Amino acid sequence: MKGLLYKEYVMLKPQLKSWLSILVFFIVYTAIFQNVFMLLMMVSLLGLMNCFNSFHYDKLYRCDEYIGAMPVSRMQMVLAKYIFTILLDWLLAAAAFPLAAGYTALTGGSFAELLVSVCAVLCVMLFMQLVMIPLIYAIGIDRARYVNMILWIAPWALILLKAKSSGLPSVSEEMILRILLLSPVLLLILCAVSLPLSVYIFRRKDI
Amino acid sequence: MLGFLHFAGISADTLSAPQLPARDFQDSVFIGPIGPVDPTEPIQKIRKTWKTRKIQKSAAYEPITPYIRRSPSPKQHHPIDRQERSEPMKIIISNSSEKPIYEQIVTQIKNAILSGELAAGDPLPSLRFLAKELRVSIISTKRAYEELEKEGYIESIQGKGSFVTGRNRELMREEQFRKIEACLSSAVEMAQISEISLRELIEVLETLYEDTESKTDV
Amino acid sequence: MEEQKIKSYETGTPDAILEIRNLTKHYPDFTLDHINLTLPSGCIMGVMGENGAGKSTAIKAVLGLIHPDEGEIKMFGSPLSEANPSLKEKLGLVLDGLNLPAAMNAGQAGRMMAGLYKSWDASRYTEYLTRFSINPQKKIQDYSRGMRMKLSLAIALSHRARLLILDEPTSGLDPMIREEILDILREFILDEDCSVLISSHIISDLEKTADYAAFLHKGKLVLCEEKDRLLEEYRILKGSREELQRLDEKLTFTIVGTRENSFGAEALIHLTGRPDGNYTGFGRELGETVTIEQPSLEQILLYLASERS
Repeated sequence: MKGLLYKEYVMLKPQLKSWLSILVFFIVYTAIFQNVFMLLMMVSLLGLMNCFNSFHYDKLYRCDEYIGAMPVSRMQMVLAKYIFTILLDWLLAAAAFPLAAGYTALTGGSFAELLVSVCAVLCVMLFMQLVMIPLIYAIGIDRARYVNMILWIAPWALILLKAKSSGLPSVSEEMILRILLLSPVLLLILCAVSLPLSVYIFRRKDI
Repeated sequence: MLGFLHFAGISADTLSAPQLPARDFQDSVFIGPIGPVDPTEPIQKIRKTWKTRKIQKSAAYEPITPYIRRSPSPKQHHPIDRQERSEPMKIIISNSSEKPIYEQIVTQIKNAILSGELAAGDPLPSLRFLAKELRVSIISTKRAYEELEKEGYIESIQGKGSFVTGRNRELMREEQFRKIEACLSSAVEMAQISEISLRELIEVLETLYEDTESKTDV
Repeated sequence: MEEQKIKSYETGTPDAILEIRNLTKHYPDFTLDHINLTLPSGCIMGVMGENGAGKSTAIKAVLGLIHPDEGEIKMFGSPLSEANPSLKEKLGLVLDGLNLPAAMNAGQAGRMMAGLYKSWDASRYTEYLTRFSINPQKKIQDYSRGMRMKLSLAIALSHRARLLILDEPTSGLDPMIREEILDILREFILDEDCSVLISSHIISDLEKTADYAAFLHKGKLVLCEEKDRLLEEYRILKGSREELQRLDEKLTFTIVGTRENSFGAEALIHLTGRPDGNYTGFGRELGETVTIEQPSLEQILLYLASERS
């Protein structure tokens, strides 16, 4: 399975340059428009994009046909995808943290809000991916992309509009803490459902 | 497809891998004269412009030996203790001949044994090596060796290979004569039934002999 | 379904490296119908057939990529199952095209395989890269078709594989590279515990290297025989239509297929009647009127295919 993780890494490497340029662009944007929200949203989108891209390239290069004939079980193939995606999410969140911290320090915002936003980025990425991956295995990457666009970009757009018009709704610290404490549990449950589901679907699939 | 067979010297400790000798000729391909050739030039000069090109690019290349199992197995291994021959044995396969491939191998090895080129106790190349060099199927070489063993020319020892039997050459020639007698007696019978004269029969025999001689002269 | 028995001159049963029993797979427009195939150890089997005959489907089933509706696959004596992927440690695969990310280079491919195969031999891999003149730093997207094939082969040969499966390895390659690949396969077979299964529609390649020839046509296995025996037992007769019709009654053969044109006819005949299978000298009794030729494997299969359509 180490080989599979290495393969994912090699597939990711060429995209890192374009990711860097996107991040730089949004850092500039944040500086100009005083809104770190867009940067964080971009980071979460990058995480989700990588998830889709890895499946897309697998289909493009027909890697599954080759790897399916190697001494790795289907479960290991799915597990490798999950491990790599989740690891990358954590890395992206860790990369976003100093950027958001810098912004908070400069604009004098609350540290709690910063923590919440970065955690939110991580949770959103994980949540979206854990739901999308079984869907990709079930209906294929192309159809899953459409579903993703419809289901997930719409709420973001709504939130953006609301943020612009009436500002973000005020959330009490208690509620924030409660969500923060619940989310790991929720995500773990979701993971415990998503991974076996993906394995089940993939095992029955004809590559 | 033509193949030349070389006996390689192998010592006991390299039992697992056949040491292939330098294959200068086989690596080269005549690609013809470089550049325009003036037909009025004397032939010696034209020959100088012919070049051979090695197919393998790196000069340091040595053939990579396949994973030959080192543990003894009941199946045939490559023969050990081959003696270095002054001249390699010649086996040529013709694809355009009507004779099946295994028969061509049988005939040529038989001739080598009968003419004394292969002495009693001489090892034969391994089935797989022969098949690889001649670029024929292993099944044909196996069949050829089985035929030779059936007729008593060679014997196969498990784990060691195939060797020429220690039978007297004269004895083998006698056996051949006996077989020829049997074939000829049936031909004579048929001739007598159809009232074909002896002279006509001899003529047919002469034509056939010349035909097969020209075919085996490759 | 009756089993296609491999006629063999070998004494005793060779160990089968690959056994395919009653393999069946239904698709909307195509059915792979009860394929029975046994690949003995130490030989090369060529699977031939037109595009869409089911060669790739059969190979995918052997590799465990698709789930057959019926049938069983046994590799190295054990049934192939998802619970036992370590069976594929000794399996080397060469597909049509290199199925790795385009941004990968040969060195990275080696590192990837080292993390997948327990028996990966990195030094051997480097040897093969040198032999094939592959630059380890060059990305796969910059490779020519021949180089991709050679990299696939280098990977397949570097983990002590015993069974090599190649799916259309030589299509689109020039004759020099094809000959190189065939030479490497012959070298691979020097170890009698190794076998090769090639599927190709370039029949001339298989004619040079294969020990057994299997022919798939529209999802069915038409024949599976020793290649040399096939070539010994078939002849092509050429003459006029009347001459060929007259021959029918006299001699021991069966006409497999015929082709006619405005100037004559030709027929593929299958010789029978001699238990040792040696038909040298067949046709001398036919005289000078009818031309007898030994067919190539391609001709035999073309006749068989047209007869079946």
